[in-house]
Amino acid sequence: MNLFREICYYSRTHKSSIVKNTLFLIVLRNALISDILMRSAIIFLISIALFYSSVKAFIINFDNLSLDLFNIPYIILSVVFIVMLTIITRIILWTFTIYYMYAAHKTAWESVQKVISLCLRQWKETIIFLLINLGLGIAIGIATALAVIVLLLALVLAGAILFGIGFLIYKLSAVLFIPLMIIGIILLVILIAALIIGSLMISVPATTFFGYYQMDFMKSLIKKQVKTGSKPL
Amino acid sequence: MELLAGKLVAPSIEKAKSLLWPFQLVTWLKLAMLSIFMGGMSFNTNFRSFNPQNSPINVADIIANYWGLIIAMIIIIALWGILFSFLRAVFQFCFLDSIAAKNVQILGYFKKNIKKGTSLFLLDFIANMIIANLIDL
Repeated sequence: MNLFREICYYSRTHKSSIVKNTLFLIVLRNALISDILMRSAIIFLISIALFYSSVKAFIINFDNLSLDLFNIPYIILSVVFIVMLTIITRIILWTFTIYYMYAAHKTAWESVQKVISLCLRQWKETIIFLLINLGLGIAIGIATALAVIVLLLALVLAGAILFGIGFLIYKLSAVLFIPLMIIGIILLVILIAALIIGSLMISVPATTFFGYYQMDFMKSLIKKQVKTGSKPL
Repeated sequence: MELLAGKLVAPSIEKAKSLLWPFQLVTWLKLAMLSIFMGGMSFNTNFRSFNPQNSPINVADIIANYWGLIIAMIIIIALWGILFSFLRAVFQFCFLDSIAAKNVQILGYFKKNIKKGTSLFLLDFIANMIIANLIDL
């Protein structure tokens, strides 16, 4: 059914050489899907190969472990590989797929496939987008952290003043210790709640901006792809 | 060549401004609540294997004495993690709906996005399991 839809689509958009374009695009589509599967399989096999010797050495010499048993650069390389794999997976899922799902109303699995092919085709746009995201993320992260530190200092100062007042009341008058202690605990809870809510609210502009930015980028990427007419969505 | 990524920064700032200004405490609080679920509470499904016989502490004895409690705790932590992973996936779409409609709601879009969220949650869960298994190999 999909094949039929695609043939109809390309027949409409490429009237000059219908058969040639249709066949070419079907082959391209199949090649891309095979490519994704092949890349996943290669990543999996490389990971097994990378860790096999280290794990084997670890298991055989479990009672007598020493650093000589392991190839440290090899292990570092393997860890870097796994970290990269994790980062790539997170980026694909949480920076692209979610927005594609939202814009195109597709399931996650369908969206992942489309997103990978979309990003591979428009790799320049994707890399620039990721770099801008990273740069803005660092800048906004530093600004947010500074704002949270200022908030924390303000609340610590407020807490210290309240503690000082309570201490003076306790020393200067005949107020009981337990009621003052209860009031102190309540104020401490309020200050901690203010810190948590304040920190969350400080991050709201950044979260909102990135939400719009990533959503608009994905919508524009899809529009651009549709305009070039290389594949129906 | 026109580059989309650079062109979209300023309009996104404008959109964020138009949603957040003038300051409305309720809108900000709702967005802050949504961000609790959207970030941070990720679930790591990495249960490392160990050999009880070679451990310096007698792990076998501890397991034998408290196995019921240990299993119950593992199940509770796992279920808690799975629940928050699921909520995180659904609330991501609730957040997108909220900012797109410029009408922030915490639970208003929840039902609508359960299907999409479940789909994303399952894919994320499978991806996490694959990576966790690679680390454990």
